[in-house]
Amino acid sequence: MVLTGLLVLLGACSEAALGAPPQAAEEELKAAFLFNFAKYVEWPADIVAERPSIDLCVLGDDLLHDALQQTLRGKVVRDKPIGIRRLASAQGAAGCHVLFVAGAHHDDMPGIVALVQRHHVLLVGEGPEFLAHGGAIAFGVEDNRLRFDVDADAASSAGLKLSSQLLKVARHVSRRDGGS
Amino acid sequence: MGRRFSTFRKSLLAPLVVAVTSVLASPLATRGEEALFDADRSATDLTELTLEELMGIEVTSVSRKVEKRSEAASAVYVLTAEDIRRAGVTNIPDALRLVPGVQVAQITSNQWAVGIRGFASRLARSVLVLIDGRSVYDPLFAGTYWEVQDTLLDDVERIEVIRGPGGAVWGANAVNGVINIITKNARDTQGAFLTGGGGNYERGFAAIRYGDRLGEDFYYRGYAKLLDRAPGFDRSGNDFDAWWFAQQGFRIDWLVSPRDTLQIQGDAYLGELGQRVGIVEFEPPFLRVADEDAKVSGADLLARWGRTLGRASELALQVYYDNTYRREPNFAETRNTFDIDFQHRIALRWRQDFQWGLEYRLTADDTGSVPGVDFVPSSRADNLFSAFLQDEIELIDGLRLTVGSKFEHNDYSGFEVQPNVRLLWLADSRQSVWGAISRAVRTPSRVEHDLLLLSSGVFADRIAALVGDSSFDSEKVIAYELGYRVQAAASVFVGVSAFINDYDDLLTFDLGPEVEVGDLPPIVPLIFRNGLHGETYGVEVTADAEPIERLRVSAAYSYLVIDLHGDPDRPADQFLVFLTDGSSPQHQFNVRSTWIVPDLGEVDGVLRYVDRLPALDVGSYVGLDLRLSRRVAEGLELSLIGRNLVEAHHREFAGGTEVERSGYLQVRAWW
Repeated sequence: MVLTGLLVLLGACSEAALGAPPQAAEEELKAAFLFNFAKYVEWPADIVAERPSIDLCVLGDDLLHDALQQTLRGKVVRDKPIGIRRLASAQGAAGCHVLFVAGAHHDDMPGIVALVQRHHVLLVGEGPEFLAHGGAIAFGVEDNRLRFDVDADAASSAGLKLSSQLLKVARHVSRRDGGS
Repeated sequence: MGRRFSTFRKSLLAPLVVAVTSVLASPLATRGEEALFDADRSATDLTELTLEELMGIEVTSVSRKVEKRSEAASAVYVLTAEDIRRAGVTNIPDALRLVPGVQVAQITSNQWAVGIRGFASRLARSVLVLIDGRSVYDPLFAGTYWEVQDTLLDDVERIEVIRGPGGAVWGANAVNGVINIITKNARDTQGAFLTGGGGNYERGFAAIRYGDRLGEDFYYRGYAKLLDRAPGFDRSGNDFDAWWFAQQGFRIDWLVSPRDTLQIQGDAYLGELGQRVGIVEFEPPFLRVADEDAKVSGADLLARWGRTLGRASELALQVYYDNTYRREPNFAETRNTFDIDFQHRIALRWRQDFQWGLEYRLTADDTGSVPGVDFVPSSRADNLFSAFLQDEIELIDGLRLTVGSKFEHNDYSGFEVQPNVRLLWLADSRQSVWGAISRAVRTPSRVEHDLLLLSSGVFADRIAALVGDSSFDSEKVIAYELGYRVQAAASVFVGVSAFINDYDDLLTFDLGPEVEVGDLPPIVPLIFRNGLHGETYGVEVTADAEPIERLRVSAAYSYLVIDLHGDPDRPADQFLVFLTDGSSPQHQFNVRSTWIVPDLGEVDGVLRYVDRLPALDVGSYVGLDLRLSRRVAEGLELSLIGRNLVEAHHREFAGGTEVERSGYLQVRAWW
């Protein structure tokens, strides 16, 4: 009885409240997305097994690097600790599992793509042009919310398998055989 | 109490020490700092959200909803799963040694004294401990039996330790701090996991866990573990404190609908703990020392339902049942606890984040099955009603005010109010300053009201009798805290917190008139009384840096002064002042490094210094733990751990055995 009354009361409260939707800083949201990407991407078995950690690398975005440091330190994916690295240039990307490339480095993309495809790195960036440059996942803001598009071919040519859960929530998934 | 009379010296003070340390031993449970600000913890950590949930979050330049630790207005320290694994520890108290402001001293192989900002004792009465929201504070003797607070350590997501009062959110007994142990979501423990190992002190341990899912939204896991530990070093050669312990449990996490989550979990344990108990008898020589095992068992079941109501409001309803049983040569306790807790959080206009909650707890015990340590009445059921309110207001950009209070009614001290006010200033993206004033109480436990222990010890040819008094009131603190955090360089984080705790009505004893009974030595009643007051103050500094890639170095320093006062004409007061002031280290320091060496593996170490405890005749010591770990094959990790490598053995507290140098080998496998 008491509980029922309580729930009714709460329901009324929530209707009356005119609060804002949950909010977060863009970098923190991106960090959380990257963490999820690491969960839903399958690397070739030896890429995970032979390295002590799952390394998320950032090229050209210090705020994102800091957000990763703050929100993901100590987290574990596939029973491996997460490593966070800030790259000064694309040269260090070979040991990364995920590489985020800031917009300012789009000119370097051809070299980056060539390097990382051999090393099975998931390339994440922002804006529609990032996929055109050969990236696998690109963030975009829509209706004040963070979304992402996927180029399935770019992922598979890097030897990566994206889980259906990831593809399901992507805004667009482009494939050579058509797809949306 | 009798259980803690493990040592007996023929001095005036020895029985008092034992009696008092056992009474003072109660724990205060801890909850994480982030939790202070978030009724629904799961909503605070973005990384715990699914992709779908992340899609629902609005992008903003100023993060409000997400409480980062750098933005907490209290002294919080979080041990992550990674911290715990790489510390090479096998139990929760040893993991807490890494936390600044926390004193962990091993008493025997199966007993620890854990204190926050002083007041460490066997049970630590002013620290509140919770495991996934379930209080494990024992209201009979006031404190936490750390030896039975266990789980599969690999399933612990994090341990949040808040130094300073947490009464406004967590309720009574969070006087000096809160320790919140949080296990992983079943979604994050999928697959099979097996670990085992052994060494000279950890004679053998093994654990297995299996996690799976049904469909896309229903995840579960089950685990079982077993451990066998050797006795500590005893100068008289009596190896009385060996023990074994077994536990199993499960957890289910079910996303019932996009708006509803359901978490159901449970555990059961069984163990035999080697103990030395001094039992006073009413015939010469009046004291018998018994080396007998304590038998412990327990079980718990918890369900938590979370619902998102609209876009800015969420509620959580939690229910748990907890059973514990403990039997010693002169004492037994059976306890059943039922608790229901409701919390609602809502974002309001003017940038307010408002939370309120209600809780009811029923706890019933039976202490009558073994004579020796007696309670009147021998069994008792108590009710706890409580409510809390908290509002966090962003006054201007970067300046946050939090005000709140807990209101509760208990059957011992009646109505209690525990308010706090906190202010946080985010000076810029790299620095923050916070301050807080809070009041908290440690409510009376059964022992202070109902104890009738006619045989607590023998001293100076007299029998000491501990007697409860139903007018014993709550112990109170008003705490003043100040903190500063700075990101000094790209990967260098420094935090400083300072506090003054002003205590009143702390526990002491009245010495009653001697009673003559037949041929017995005279009996001196020691009656519980609120009589001490005073201050503690201190500073804690933490620093964390990543000087080169994959090498992380952390250091923590704690400074503490305890300055209590009592009636100069009462010897019991003077003794308790001496005991409390001198049972905590004035200086503690630790530095640890975790390093991933390419082609070798993980190379980790912890070096710590703990100052002497003058009242307990315990010297300062330096401890060094080392861990080497290597992935030898896919899904197979081998670790070699050395603990307390500096000395062959050292004493950490009074009334027990010594901690020996030890080593063990551990295997972890998963598939």
